[in-house]
Amino acid sequence: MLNEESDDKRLSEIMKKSMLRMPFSDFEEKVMFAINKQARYKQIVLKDTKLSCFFFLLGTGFGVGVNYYLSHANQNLMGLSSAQILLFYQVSFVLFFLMQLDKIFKLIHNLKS
Amino acid sequence: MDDVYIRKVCGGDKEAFRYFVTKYKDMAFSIAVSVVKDQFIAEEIVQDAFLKAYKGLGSFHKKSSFSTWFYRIVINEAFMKLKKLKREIVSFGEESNADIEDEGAYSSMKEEEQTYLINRTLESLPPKESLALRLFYLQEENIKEVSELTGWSESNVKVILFRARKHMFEVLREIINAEF
Repeated sequence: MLNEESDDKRLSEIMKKSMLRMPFSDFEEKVMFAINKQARYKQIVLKDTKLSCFFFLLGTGFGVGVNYYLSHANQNLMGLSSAQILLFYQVSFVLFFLMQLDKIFKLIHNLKS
Repeated sequence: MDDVYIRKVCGGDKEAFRYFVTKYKDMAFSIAVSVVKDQFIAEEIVQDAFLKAYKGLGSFHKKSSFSTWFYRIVINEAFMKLKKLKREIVSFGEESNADIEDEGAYSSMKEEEQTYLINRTLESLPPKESLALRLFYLQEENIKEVSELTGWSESNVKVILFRARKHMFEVLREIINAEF
């Protein structure tokens, strides 16, 4: 019977033969391709996020400008008074602003994670 | 050496990551095969593990060596995949014994054939046992390191290794006698 110590030694020698080689010769290239693709994708997402933030700020500025204009304009439109038009515009603006803000936050959060 | 390449990759040199792929792919593949027992699935696991390592390299705090950190990713990926596949691992025994019926045939085998036979035997062991054997003997980790890599307690590692040795010897005893 083999004792525990010699068993261990023999098993150690046997196990040295159990190293497997990656049998797929193109493995390295596949991994590097996937890494490059991921890096490119991340760059594109970063660029798009920056662009989204820019247009969000631009749109917000424009919305504030329109709000300022409407609050000083005393014109009726299609039977609606200027106060009604202003109220309708402001409610729409706030809703739209919050929806887009939420999307921007999600985009930035996804980018970070 | 790993630290130099980690800095390079974190500095934006994507191609520097090839160093890790070249250095660790074989051991990572051996680990993955130990668990899933399938070369194609193992390749997929190792590829995913490298991608995860690349993504997470910035958050690697060097508390352990890169190899320990990376092999832990491989092991987690492999067990997750195994859980998904719910593959039935053929228990060792009948099939393996059939391979070593003829002792004389084994001793006349070439080294590649012996390697093949040993790997077939490891394939027929349960995933945890073949993984423990490969980490302990091939990667030459100690009980504590195997415990760190796998997330099993040290006493659990000892029990698994004990069982694995026993099972391995049941299949290989005749081979060992023929060889030594």
